[in-house]
Amino acid sequence: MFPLLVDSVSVAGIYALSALSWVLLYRTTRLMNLANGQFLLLGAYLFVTFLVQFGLPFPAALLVSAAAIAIIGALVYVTMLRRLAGQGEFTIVILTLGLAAVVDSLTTMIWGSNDRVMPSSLSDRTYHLPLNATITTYEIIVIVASIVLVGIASLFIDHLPYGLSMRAAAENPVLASQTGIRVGRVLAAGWALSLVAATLSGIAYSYVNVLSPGISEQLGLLGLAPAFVGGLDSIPGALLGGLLVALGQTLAGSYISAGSQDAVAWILMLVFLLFRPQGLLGSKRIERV
Amino acid sequence: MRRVTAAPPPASPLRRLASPRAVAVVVLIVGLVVLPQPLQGYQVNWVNLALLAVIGALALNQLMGVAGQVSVGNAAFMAVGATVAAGLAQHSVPPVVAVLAGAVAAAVMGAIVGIPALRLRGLYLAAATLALYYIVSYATNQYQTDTVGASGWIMPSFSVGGWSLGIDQKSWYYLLLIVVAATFLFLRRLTDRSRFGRAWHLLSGHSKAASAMGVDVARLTVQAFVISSFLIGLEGGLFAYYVGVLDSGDFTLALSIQYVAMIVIGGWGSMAGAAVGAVLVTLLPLGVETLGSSLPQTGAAGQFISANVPALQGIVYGVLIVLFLMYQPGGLARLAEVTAARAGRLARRGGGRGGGRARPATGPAAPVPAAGAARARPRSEIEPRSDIEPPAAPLLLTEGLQVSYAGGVFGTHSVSLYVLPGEITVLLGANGAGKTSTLRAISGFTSAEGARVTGGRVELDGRDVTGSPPDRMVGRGVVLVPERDKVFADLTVAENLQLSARGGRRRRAGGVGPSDAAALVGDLFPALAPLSARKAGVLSGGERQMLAIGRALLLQPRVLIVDELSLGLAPRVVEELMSQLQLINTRHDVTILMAEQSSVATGIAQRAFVIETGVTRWSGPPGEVGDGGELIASYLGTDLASD
Repeated sequence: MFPLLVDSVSVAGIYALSALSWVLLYRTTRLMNLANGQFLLLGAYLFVTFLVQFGLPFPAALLVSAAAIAIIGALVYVTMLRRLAGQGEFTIVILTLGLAAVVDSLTTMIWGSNDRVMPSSLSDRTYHLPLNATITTYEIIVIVASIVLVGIASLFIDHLPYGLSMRAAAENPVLASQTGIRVGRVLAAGWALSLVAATLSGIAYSYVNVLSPGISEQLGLLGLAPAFVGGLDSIPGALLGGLLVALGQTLAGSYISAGSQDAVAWILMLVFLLFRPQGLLGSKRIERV
Repeated sequence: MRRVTAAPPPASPLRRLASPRAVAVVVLIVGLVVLPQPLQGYQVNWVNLALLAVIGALALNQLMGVAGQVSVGNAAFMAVGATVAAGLAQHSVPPVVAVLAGAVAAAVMGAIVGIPALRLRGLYLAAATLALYYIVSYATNQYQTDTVGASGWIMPSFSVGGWSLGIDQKSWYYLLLIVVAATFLFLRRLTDRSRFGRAWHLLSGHSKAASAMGVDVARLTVQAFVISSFLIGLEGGLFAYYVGVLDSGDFTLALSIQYVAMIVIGGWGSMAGAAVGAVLVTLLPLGVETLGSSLPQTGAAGQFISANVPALQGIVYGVLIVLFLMYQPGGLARLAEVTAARAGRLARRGGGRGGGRARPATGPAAPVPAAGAARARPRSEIEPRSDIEPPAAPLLLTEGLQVSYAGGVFGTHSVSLYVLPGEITVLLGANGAGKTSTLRAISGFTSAEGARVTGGRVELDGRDVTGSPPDRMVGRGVVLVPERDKVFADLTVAENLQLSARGGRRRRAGGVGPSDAAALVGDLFPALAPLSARKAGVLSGGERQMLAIGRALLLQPRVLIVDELSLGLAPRVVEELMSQLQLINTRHDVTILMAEQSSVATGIAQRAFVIETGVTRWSGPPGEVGDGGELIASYLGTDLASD
């Protein structure tokens, strides 16, 4: 039991980052990006390309790929979604579905469909914990990084002035503009931040496991599950949701079958959607009179 | 929502028989029946796949385009229909029974999906259908693993009452054609000729209005899901028999996206559009392949295309979804309507010169009130003052301002007014006269609003600022307190104020300075202080108005524009707010422009403008409005006269 718990904690960190990308986008634009998974994969591939093909050192590759995906996110908003503003969330969700098809095909064409093992830039040791549990260096790094990143995101969005502008623009873009906020830039920044979180999740997964094209659905899209479980508008909820979903999956994997893991995550999400749509830490929407 | 039905011209039965539309239908039917004759077997195969897709697209259109429900789990319903049919086929169940059973199973699934739809809307519902897709896809995979394994189900030959189709493509073609036609007729009947169909139309996008009109939204939503998933399940079952070997892995998320693409390309809510979209999307891989093989294989382009057919196909339909949503949101159906209407107009004009250039849908650009949003009111004997001559150096001025909304509706036709520095100016007019449009045009529209200044000018300090976005106008010191949605409901009172403290303009002469703004808000509205941790959405109307004015003051305005301060507020609260505005004006040198329906503001204003049906009719000292009430009464209704 205890080894399983330890396993789920590192998976939880990866899920938390994927959930964070959904939550960030929702908090800053009130939208859902169904191409999130494909962008997650794209970001991870960009990172590998900078790291391996261009031979950049790890921190540089991380920064450059984050910057690249941030620019791509902002461009998605500026070139497409901005023109659709005011058309309703339905249209935009379907547009992201179209984007998913495009990015999916592009990544397959450019990077193929083979799994890639990450070159290890630091030695990945395995530590033995009590009760037969083990944990690796990478897993420890992922856990710490996810907690730190969720903390930073929460501080930024919930407490800093720019985050306040983002929340205002998300709620009412017209009034935000009338308050002097440059809404276009702020919303583009929301897309950028969300995709950066997705990319970091993809990179983390690739180090703990391998980089495979399947993660666009199994990690990127599946990030919706921890996001809803924790609460779609709660940034700390991403951590809690990640933990719960990872735990459910680990248990399902060892007691039912490996194939049931994804289904369990989606079932968890559906249960929350039906009985507690605001998730564990999310807030109930205030109805305007 | 985007559904536009072409109104058929009135015609005698005989003429209707020979109408272009009827001829087109006959030609279409004959064409469809003889279609497979000249085609090769593999070509008929593509046509058959397209026909199968038409069934699913029609069904999805019914759910998304007509009933207005979001579903990205189309492939799941298909998987259920196919898997149930395949499972039953292994037990020698007659094919027709197996296919119908699959469709029923999918319909039951649809009812289950309908249950979240009762509680969830919009994005949450889309997420729920996504979750269901993955759960179903796990279940069908598991079932396949437990029964037949990775090779998939080998399907027996399909037969109907002794007519065994086997692998004869042309027989399949006729069977599918019959099913498609039946689906088409069934849905048409359901949508157009029944109460049910009308209720569905109401449901799409207006569930609140629909329920107010006595429509049982919950029941209809479930019905929409049941009917559409029944048909998609039917498609799945037929698909299983048609392909001969069924693998549950065929029903991918990409397949769901393809169906959405069909609807988007064809046109929301249009059955013909959905059918055309289905054919196009299905034949797309064929097109890409043909393109690849028709280019010289030695060339880079030809090789590249041939090597990347599936990926390119994904790119093409993804790009089509994006482009159609952005530039042709009504899909091909709307495009066809517009083209037909344009051709009709040209024909009526006798094919005159200027071919192809459509005139804008809006009327003449003259400042004469045409048919517009503005309401007609009886004219008074006073001559319209369309020649408002501003004195030298007004702070703010509009001249012949014309505002248009998307769809050619006018907000105003020709509003001229001016605001002198240091004064309080009131814009009077009845409901729908164009007050809000005028104020919003001055403070700026965002690009998303679909409203534009289409005539006249806005000047600030003698500089033309027409069409500037709101954030630029705020930077210049022009700040609006809107009529509705004037505070951020999800933010706390403190956050609402904090936001403005950041968004203020760069320092310029006049108005409230940055340092005294905060103190001023505290002084003017002490009632806000204890509420600072409260969400603005729970404030009362009066508190909200105070917060909105406070928010605006923190932006350090030179001109404060207040739209309908008194709307929905108790007279005592209005009086209090008016005196505070006066204080802001006199003590802090903030020029004020306000719009009101009644004479509540005339007591504090130095100048009044009266607009009617989007045109300035009168200007003068507000006292005259009050005294000569009966003269202006015809513009404003009885409010003023009785006040």
